[in-house]
Amino acid sequence: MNPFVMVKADYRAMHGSAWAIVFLVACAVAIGVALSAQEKAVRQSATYAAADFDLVVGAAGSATQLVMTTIYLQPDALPLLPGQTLKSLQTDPRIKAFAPMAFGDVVAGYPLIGTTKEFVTRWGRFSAAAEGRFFAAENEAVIGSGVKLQVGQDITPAHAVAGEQSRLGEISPQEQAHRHAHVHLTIVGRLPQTGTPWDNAILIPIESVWETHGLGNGHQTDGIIGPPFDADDIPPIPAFVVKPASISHAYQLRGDYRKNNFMALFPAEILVTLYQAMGDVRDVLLVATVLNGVLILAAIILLVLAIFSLRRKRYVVLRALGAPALYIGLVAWLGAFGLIAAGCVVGLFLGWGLTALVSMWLSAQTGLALVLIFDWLQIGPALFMLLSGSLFALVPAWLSYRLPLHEGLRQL
Amino acid sequence: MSFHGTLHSLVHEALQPDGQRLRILDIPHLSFAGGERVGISGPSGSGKTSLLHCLAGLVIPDHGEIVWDQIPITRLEASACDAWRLRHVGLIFQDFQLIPELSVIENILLTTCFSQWRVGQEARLQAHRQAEALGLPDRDQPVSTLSRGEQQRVAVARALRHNPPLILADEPTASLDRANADKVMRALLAYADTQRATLVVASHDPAVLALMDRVIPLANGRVQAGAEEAS
Ligand SMILES: Nc1ncnc2c1ncn2[C@@H]1O[C@H](COP(=O)(O)OP(=O)(O)OP(=O)(O)O)[C@@H](O)[C@H]1O
Ligand SMILES: [Mg+2]
Repeated sequence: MNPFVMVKADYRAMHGSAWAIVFLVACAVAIGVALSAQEKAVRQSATYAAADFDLVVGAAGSATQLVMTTIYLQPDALPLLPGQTLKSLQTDPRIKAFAPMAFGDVVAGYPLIGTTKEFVTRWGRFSAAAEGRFFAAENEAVIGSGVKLQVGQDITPAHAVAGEQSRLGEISPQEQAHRHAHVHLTIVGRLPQTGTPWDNAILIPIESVWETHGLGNGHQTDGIIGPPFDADDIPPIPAFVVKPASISHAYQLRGDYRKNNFMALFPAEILVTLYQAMGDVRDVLLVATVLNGVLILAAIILLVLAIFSLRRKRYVVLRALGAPALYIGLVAWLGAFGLIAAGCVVGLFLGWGLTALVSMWLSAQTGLALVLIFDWLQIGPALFMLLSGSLFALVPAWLSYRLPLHEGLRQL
Repeated sequence: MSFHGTLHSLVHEALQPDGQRLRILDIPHLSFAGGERVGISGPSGSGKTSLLHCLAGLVIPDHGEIVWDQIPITRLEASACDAWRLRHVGLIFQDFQLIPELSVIENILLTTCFSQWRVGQEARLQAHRQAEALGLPDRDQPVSTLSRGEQQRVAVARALRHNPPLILADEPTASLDRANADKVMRALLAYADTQRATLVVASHDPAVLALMDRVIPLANGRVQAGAEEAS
């Protein structure tokens, strides 16, 4: 039994209407795949970006804002913690490592962050810089892998204007106007890629930030960077990233630093609530997608019925020539299956291509490296469409059995 | 091989659009001896096509029985009847019923595809020989681009493809000029001779009817008086 001869003949007879099915299916599948793949990619890379931030401590305020600013570097003015906090963290035995974070300045649109070498090396995960070296003195800076500046270049930071969203790599008029003209930093190294917004950041010793704003350097003596910080009067700090010694310590610390104008949180908690909010949006999208899918499926079924009804005379002729029902069924089903399958394949690639494009754009905007995940679950709806849609092609074939062949040959 | 057939008290009616039932066939008895060449004549609308379709099992008549080689085809299930037709009947339709998008050879070999995945070299060669014998162009182009006369001959070649013991030909020369009509009839008769197949040809071409052993004249769905068969 070789139904493909007739399938080929049917495709030739269908001309453009065959492409209509392919096109419709491809669009439906592409939209569905793109939506679910994009959502997964964003979720996964957002979680990944929070990996080095075990516990974040800041002044009481918006938890979301604290997470968005420290982990995703969204420019925002955080309330400050007293410098004394640094000292108590420094001596807390429940803490394995910690790093202060100071935000607020920019260079060529890239956020400038004051911190310590512990965090620059991502708690020792980076044994060396990708290019050059880590900073070792107050006026040295290291840049993220995505920063389009050169190692060896001199830079002058500017005060970021609140609410002003600067474009990475571009010096805005505001930046020009708010330069700390007396400060000169030298880029001494470039960090390995992290796939997070921090790839678009410039990191300097926190002492350098304090000095820029005339607040001293946090040490008794000049020229030292990094812990211990032993000055009597340590400048205020917007946030700390803390690596607790153990899980139980982590919970204790979170409890302790939730009192008295402090706020401590596991970014994962915030992300969960964010994902829940995202999930609500996703649910709405999902309902929309399902409705869209149902409509498209209905359109495809109607199209299949219409196109394959035109084949009814064909089925009658095949029967008159003695073709078994199985043969006629296969011709009809395979014909529809082939068209819808072609649409699904085109749609999957279109969808993934679309996701890749949107991801590229999102990555450029946020610095989040979006990893595309090819999930077999994404193929599920396509398969459903393939099976259900192609089965409807059997209806016209089946109808050809309802009419005596003599009538069919006369009438159709 | 002796593929004989009988037909008993056949009555078939068609429902007119106005709800009236029109009797299109009313034939008390007919028989076809194995290897016999029978012509069916009659004016347009006399029921030639309807009778051939009954004989091929394409329609189950309202009354009566048709038996071919001991098989009462009027009592077969639809799919069993389709299978019987594939094995035993070479049907040449009045309007050919070719697959317009397929080539000459693909049309001739179509019925082979009902049962086989690959068409063997032998069958393919045979199809080419058949096409050649009927003077068909052996081109790989859709038959819809062929002339009506050429299409007619493709239909003949397709009907002979499975060496059926019964050939039912509905006006097989209607679209042909004299020379081609002769060619087609010679092919049909040669086939019937070598295979000792039973041949039933509906036609109003006297030259064609003259080649038959006998002719059944139809008018208004009835066999004309005087020509009623003895047995
Ligand atoms: N399904 C039907 N519904 C209505 N009328 C029908 C039907 N089938 C056949 N007829 C009528 O029965 C008569 C016989 O038709 P048939 O096609 O058998 O004639 P024919 O002898 O083959 O004519 P022609 O020489 O034109 O081919 C015609 O009057 C036709 O209109
Ligand atoms: Mg006719």
